[in-house]
Amino acid sequence: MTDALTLRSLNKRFGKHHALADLSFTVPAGSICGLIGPNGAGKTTTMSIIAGFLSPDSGSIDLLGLGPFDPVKHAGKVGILPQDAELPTASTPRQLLAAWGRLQGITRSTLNPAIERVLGEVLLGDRADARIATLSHGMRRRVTVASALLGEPAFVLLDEPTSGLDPAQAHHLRDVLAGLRGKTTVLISSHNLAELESLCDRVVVIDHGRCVREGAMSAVTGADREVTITLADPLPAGLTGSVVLRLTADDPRSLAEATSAKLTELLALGARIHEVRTGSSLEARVLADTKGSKP
Amino acid sequence: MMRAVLDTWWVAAYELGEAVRTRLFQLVILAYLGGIGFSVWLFTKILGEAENRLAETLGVPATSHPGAMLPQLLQNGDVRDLLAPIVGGTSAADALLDQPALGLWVGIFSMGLLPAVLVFTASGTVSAEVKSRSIRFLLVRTGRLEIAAGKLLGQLLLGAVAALLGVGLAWILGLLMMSGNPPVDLAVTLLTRCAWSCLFSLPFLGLALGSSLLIGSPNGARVAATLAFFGMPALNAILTFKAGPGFVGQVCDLLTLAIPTRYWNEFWSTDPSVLAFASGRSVLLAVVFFAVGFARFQRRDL
Repeated sequence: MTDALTLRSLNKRFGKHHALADLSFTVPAGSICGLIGPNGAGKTTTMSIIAGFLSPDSGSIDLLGLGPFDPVKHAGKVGILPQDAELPTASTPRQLLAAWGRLQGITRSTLNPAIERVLGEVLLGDRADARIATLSHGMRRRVTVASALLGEPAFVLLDEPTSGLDPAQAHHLRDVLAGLRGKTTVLISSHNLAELESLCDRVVVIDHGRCVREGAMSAVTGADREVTITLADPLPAGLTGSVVLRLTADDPRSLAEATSAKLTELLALGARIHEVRTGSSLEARVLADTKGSKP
Repeated sequence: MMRAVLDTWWVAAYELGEAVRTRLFQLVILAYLGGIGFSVWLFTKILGEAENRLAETLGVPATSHPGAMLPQLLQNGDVRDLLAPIVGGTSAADALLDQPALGLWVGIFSMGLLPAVLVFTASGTVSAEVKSRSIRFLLVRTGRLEIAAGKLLGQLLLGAVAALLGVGLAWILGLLMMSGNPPVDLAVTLLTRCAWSCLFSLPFLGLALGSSLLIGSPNGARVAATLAFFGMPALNAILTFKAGPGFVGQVCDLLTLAIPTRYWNEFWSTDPSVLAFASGRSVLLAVVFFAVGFARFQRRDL
């Protein structure tokens, strides 16, 4: 799999504050990657540099094999949901998306169907002609998500995409984003770790402007090599409430084989199984990686 | 290159479309039209007074509808005397007086009001979008030059829309409130003066947009552009006073060339070569002011 995004030794300072310190990571093409970190870790700065809003002090970026973001080279290839960017309020979603779609180079014949499609994806088809000023915060957020997906860009940057959405809308948006897997590369910055765990196949954890962990979600959470078996009371003699099974690198068995063997062994001892869970939660991993971090 | 031109046009269309839907712009247009309407009313009042005085002198009945005795007033030089100090002398006034006087009068107001309108609307446009970060929706779609140039073109189109609405209003009021106004000649004069007003306003537009590109805060950009606009006559006076031999004098002399208000009279000339030169210089000044702001905008973190 080729990389859609490669960051190498990015540095960015705001006065005395070192926002990014030799930040490096890659995002494989077609993956949905979560960008995680505590407040002030440098997530939004990273997104802004990738999108060309900010210039790095040093380091290199390769976006879609075309070098750093360039509005000419990357025309129509990159969509972004910027954090805290306010929509112009006098226009309607359809008018805004039409203006931005034309700037992206979407042809006249495909523009209207493309607008209908993205507004439908964010469940705003019925408010397409309402002035932005009359839309709620959540609806405005969905308009910005629609703008990021307009024209089916090859790379989409989403900064807190479900912030301000109600649970049903957030669930729907996650389904929409999951549908992009394999076709579009998506980099999502969010504090909602449960959401990222269910959606992303890759994760990058940054703290104090550095990458402290990156890899496949299953590897980061340990879902491919770790199982926790929780036992129900009464416990057989010699057993505690939970049993953790970790596969070592030289173990020839698959996780399923090892888990089955362990369960057979526990049942033979008279244990009753309450829960079997693979890996740790992403939240537990991130908290461990960023322990003691101060924003 | 074609793509850049097309993007500039789309940004301009976006700017125009977004602005005409905002209440602020609608209020500014109303204020401009109010100013033009006031100028027509004032003209008819002054003309009516002058005509009534002439009627009294001649011992004929006073008119209730101004304009009937305008040719007589033109002959005895009253209108020329009124026009001369504004357009840069009696010869310039004489050359203009074969055109409808109302068209010239409205042109004077238009040349005063249109730069003010553009300074007000253009000085906040980019900085407001930078502050709200809505500019990021554009930055990911096109280049910074296309955005800035599109904003310049969009604001120019807004100014042109305002000026054309003013022409329409002045034409209608002129025909309703005065007699003896030839409709076609009045329309031609108003449209011609409208074009010169737009060209005269270009450096002010460049100055306001340059300020908006240069300064991050919308209020800061507006204050800077407004101070520059209203401070221009004073600056011109200071620079002209200091101009002369020596390094400082020569620098002052050079700087006076960048003061657009100095070139008011040239836009009243009837000599095509003077008008062409004045127009070219206006475009150049607008580009210079814009370029100063853009040089900063191009490198800024947004």
